[in-house]
Amino acid sequence: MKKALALLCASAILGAVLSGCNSSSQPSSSAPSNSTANSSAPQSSAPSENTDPVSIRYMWWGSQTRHDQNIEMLKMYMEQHKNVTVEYEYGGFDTYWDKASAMAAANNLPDVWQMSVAYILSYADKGQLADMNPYIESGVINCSDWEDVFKNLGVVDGKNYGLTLGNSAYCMIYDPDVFAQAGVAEPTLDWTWEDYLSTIKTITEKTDLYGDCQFPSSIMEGYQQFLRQNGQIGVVNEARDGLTYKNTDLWVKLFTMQKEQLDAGNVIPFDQAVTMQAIEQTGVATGQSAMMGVVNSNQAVAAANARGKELKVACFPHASDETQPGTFIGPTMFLSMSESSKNKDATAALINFLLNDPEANKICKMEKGVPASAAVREAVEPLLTETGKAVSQYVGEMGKIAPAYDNIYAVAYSEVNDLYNKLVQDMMFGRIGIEEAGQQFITEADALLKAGASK
Amino acid sequence: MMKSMKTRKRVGAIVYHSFVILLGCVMLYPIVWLILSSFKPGDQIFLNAANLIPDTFVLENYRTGWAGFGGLTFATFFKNSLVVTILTVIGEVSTSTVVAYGFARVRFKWKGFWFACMIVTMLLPTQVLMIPQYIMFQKFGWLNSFLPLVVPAFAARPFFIFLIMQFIKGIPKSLDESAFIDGSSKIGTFFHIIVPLCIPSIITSAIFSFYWKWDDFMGPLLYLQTPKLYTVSLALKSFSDPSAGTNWGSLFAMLVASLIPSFVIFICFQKYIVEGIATTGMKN
Amino acid sequence: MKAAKKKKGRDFGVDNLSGYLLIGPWLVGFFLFTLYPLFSSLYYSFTSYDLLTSPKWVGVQNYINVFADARFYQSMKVTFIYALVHVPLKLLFALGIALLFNMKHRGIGIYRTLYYVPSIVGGSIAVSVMWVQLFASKGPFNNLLAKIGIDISRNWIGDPDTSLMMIIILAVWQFGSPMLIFLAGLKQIPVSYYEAAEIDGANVFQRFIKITVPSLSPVIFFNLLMQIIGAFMAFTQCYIVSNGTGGPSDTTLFYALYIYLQGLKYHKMGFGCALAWIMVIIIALITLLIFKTSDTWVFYESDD
Repeated sequence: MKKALALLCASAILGAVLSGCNSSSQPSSSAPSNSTANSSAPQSSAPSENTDPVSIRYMWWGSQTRHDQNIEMLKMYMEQHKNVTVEYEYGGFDTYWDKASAMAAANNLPDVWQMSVAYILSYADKGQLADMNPYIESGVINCSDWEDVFKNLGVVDGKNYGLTLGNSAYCMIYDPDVFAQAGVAEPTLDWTWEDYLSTIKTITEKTDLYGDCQFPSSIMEGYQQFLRQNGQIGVVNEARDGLTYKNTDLWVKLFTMQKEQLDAGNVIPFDQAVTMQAIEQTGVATGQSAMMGVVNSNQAVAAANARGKELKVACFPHASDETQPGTFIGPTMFLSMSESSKNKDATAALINFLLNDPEANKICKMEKGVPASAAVREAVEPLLTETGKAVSQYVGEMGKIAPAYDNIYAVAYSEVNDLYNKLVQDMMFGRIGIEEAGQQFITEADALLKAGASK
Repeated sequence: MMKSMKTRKRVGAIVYHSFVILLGCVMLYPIVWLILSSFKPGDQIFLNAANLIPDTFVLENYRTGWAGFGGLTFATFFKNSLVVTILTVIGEVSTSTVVAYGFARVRFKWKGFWFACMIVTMLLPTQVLMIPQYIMFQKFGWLNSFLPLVVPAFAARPFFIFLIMQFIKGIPKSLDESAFIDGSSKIGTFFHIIVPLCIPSIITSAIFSFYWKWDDFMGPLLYLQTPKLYTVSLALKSFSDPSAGTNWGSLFAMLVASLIPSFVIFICFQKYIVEGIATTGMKN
Repeated sequence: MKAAKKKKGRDFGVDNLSGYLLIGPWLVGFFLFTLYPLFSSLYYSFTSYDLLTSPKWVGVQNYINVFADARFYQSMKVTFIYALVHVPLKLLFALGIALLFNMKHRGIGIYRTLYYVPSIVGGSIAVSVMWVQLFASKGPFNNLLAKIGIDISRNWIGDPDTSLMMIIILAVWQFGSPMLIFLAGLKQIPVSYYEAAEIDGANVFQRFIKITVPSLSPVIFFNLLMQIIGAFMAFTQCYIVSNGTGGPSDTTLFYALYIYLQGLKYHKMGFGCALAWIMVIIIALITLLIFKTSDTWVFYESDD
């Protein structure tokens, strides 16, 4: 027994050490940054020669589809650039930021990584991201066929910290068959709140489905758009250190409307709606409601896949007296380069390939949103599903009337967003008055934004 | 007299089995739903969530799920998980038993202090230890290998130390004292008296150790970079993306597949918990 | 600790060498792997640390902020309710099932295995989907209620009045680990004790109180302590069910989840670590209290 145990322990330790060595001796290994510095120094000192072997680390989040597509794109790239090895890491969204925080704390971020609009400011502000403008100017990243607004989506203080992987606009996904069944006209690009309200009322009355899954103000992007169509620039002010709008009038108006619709039963009851976390669980994807809004247009294809039929997209309802539309174009996500990267030139070349190569983008179609490059869009468009085409068309149409805008995002974005969601829940469950919640949002969100910006 | 005893026994058995089965049905309903959902076509999981039995049984989810990501199949992830988990079980259980013996049966200076330290290490949530741990293992040069996942297991685990300790304390001291008087050393007493009598708690620890390591994704998430090293728990997290769309079919199928090793381990080991003491025939 | 107080006579006597050799593996690991993260987190709690730049010393400011924070009190409330309801429920359930599975019946191995299955499904997002579906407004649970004449369309997880209860049920449902420990404990009770009691004419209940409970007390003590610690650190279940938000309306904002939100999601690691150390002090006090009272109700064979 004793011998056996000793033997077991010994073999286990040996095994552990072996497996460790095994993995860290692979060419792949991205050992701690301080030791990588030595090994990869030669490449960074001779950027013009692109025949030296280079290793680039690329990290993203996504689902199975995206992992497969990205890996295939990288294989294509490595086929074309024999000297480049791209080491990739992937995972799901919810744990991605935990890993990124740890990597940032240890100065071990990958060379290029998928970046969310919610976090780009935090990382850029703290000097973790590299300015990509020099590469755009030199043409390594060729943005010549991008509209200017798309080039500048990731610009903070004149420095370009993120290039959009694809664009989207907030939209409402709907099932045209239910509209036909209820005998209501499908939404047009200029429909108003009155149209929206009467539509969901009629659908609820005439069919056994709810008109909408969630009222548009259920997420902060809904409030953002409501403020914009009422003359504000958005939730967060231009300096990103406080709120733009510090009154409760519009807040009260919007949430009184939401509460009325909930009470009238025209949208799915709130206790059910809050448990629908994934797009596949929402009313439009499970056939419980005719619409789902507001969501990122990028999610429409996933909803259609879950529903097993083609769906269409509509825009955020307009205010009848609006000065500007509420909807805006924004990046679905960015690609960012780390300031700590030792191979910035090679990384920039890879970024260019991922964003601008039409052949490569045929692999991923528009899974990450509508590409900024006109050439890529042209190449990919014919390969899309009906819903995909509708989304692409929608984003194109919106691009004409709605300016690109992403100022909702500030350093304290995720905390403000959580506060917003909590207050909406408190109001809809009747735990707090609408006016009182509005006051609370103004005080607390403003303080959070101020604290976030001051660091 | 005999007959009524027999019928009473039979009635007891019927009551017993009906109760256990009925409760079992309630308890297992969610599991059955989970398993059957993995056989529904991907788009039916939510559309037909209310139906327990799928309209059409498909194996598609298992095929697409097992295919993994970019040519790396779940076979690789299962292999990695098995290596990491088995090494961890061996490490945690063997060292925890030894340490537990030390705490339970030997008197030494500062014992209370060290025991208190051990308890305190159980009170800190991983969320705040994660960052310094990552920095530490990076300084060791252990990133992108199994070392940060496996080596600490050989430093015992407080939960198991404490658990096995409680069981050792339940063994009458007269037993090891008599062995001691018979000339057996402390080590001899440990292997001949303590370990055999603690089999139920050691096996229990092994079952937990296996499951916890198998299920752990925070460690693999932080320390493994190359997908070739990913474990099942980490791969399972790579199916979902709330911002674009999740491959629910694959996710459900691979979740069900990932339960099998823990299930098999339990089946294999649970009988030792039951037989442990009975067969050693403890006398007082 | 207890043994140290006893008279030397019956022990081996103080043996520092053996003692330190035996606890060596843990001690080495403690110094090598645990001490640095432990002190780092304590240090961070006195700094402003956003993970992306170096920590800056702020003294006790984080602790002052914690006590002025409304969500801190909300998460405390949620966690205490959870601990007070969940721990006794789970322990009673686990003990009951363990007693049931400690009997001699045919097919008991299969039952034991099947009852353990819920405890190995883990923290996948699919489990959250399953739980949400189970207690949805038209889910199986409401259907069952409808069959016995109670017509409810409530979504039990989405409703802030019942959301915490659903997480407690999920946690109790995964009762496998204390059950297994109880079972192992029951198996260690010598059969001779029961035989002797039976000869003395004790009935089932008397045997349970006089033999099972005292003999099992070290294990009950262990399970109680571990479940309380576990309750304060509970994270996975509420993370998956509320999608990491603690919603609806912060009614499932567990303390560990709040630490996660502040430390990692909002990049306020200093604040998060201050929260964590406040929790360490609270659980340490509770643990100490349980240890102190254990003298009166935990009986070790080796002590008498």
